[in-house]
Amino acid sequence: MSEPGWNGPRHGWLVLRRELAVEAASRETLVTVTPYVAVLVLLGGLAFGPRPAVLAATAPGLVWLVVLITAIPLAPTVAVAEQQDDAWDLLRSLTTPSTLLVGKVAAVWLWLLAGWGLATVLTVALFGAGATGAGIAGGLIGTAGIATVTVLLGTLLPAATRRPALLAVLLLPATLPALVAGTQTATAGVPASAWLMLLAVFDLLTVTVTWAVFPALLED
Amino acid sequence: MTDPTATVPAAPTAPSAAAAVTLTLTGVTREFAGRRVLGPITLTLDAGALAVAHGRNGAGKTTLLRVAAGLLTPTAGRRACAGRAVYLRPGGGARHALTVRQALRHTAALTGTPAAILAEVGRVAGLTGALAERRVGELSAGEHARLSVALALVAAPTLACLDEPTAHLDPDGVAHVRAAMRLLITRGTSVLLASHTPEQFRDLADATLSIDDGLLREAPE
Repeated sequence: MSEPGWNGPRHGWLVLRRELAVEAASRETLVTVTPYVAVLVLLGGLAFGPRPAVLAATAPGLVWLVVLITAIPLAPTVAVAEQQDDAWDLLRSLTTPSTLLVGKVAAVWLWLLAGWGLATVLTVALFGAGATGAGIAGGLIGTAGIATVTVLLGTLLPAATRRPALLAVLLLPATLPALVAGTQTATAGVPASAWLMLLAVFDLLTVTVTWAVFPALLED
Repeated sequence: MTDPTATVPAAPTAPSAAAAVTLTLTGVTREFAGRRVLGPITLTLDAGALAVAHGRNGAGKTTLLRVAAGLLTPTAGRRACAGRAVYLRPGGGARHALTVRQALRHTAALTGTPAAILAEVGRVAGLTGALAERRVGELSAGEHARLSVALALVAAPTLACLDEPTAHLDPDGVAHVRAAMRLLITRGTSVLLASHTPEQFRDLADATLSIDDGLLREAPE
């Protein structure tokens, strides 16, 4: 694989730009994530309703559950979709593992942020949940870690034989810290700083582990 | 096991034939689940040289190309490549949602290839006009194969490993691929290609490598 040297950040941006161009042309993530998020929030409302106080109180946890579940259909966009188009080999040849990782994580982060934003807006509008600065910060930080885990497992996916089952088994427990801490940052009356710190540590750990193993995962 | 050592020098007319070596495989083997699929193979490819690997299905051609391109790590032996290597199958290299022009531009951006070269590549590969605005997923097999070779040109690699680049192509398509390949060699790119029809490249090739059971069965012609 090529070594772009100081061009690394620029190459990461170029990978992201390619992802955005594919999305702009196909709308695949949009039509996957948007209905997914909307349906999950509505189903959550039906499951926890109809008392408004209960809906508002459970909204932060529901939002993070929706984010985690949304990561599952996003994982195949990392490598499986590339392989289906037979574009993965050339992309791997033209980038370093680190720049490929940066670009892919950035793309999945954007889609997860969009899903988190939509879920938050829906819970505010439908359930009367509040949106706080700490909650928004938690969303920004927590989705980054989930995006990193999603890219890690999405890269493993082509080699997995029982794909959806394996992904669910691996992805959901690995993102448990984001679910718990993200929920707490958005819950009224809970001091958020410690939970935000936990989210930052979660991000650091996921990025470090993924950075270390990603080159090996890219080999056939 | 036989292990003929193949050295593929560039033609004297190649501009980069100043004895620079692009690829060296030394005693390379590759196994899958404990089964040897390739090697041991020792192969040296000079800058601007073109070698055609041929053999029956399952002989190890694709594995050789993927090891040479760095996509597969050898189980044993050593691979050395001076610069960027790419591996392309006909129809491969680009996301299907993108247009031909977008696919070429994104590749050019990643490799720093000047935009001016894109026009030349498009012309040589026959990917101009309305065809350049078509989505990759809507291309015919022949058009897609031409795009793959065009991507190899835009990527400007040191080594291009092309797997069956003229498979299922009509004579016009073969002519475009051959023209693109000639341009690759002219620029000093070494080309290692696998083909069931090596005679299509006889005039361009510096060597023909016969592969059987993962081994080079004879010294290059």
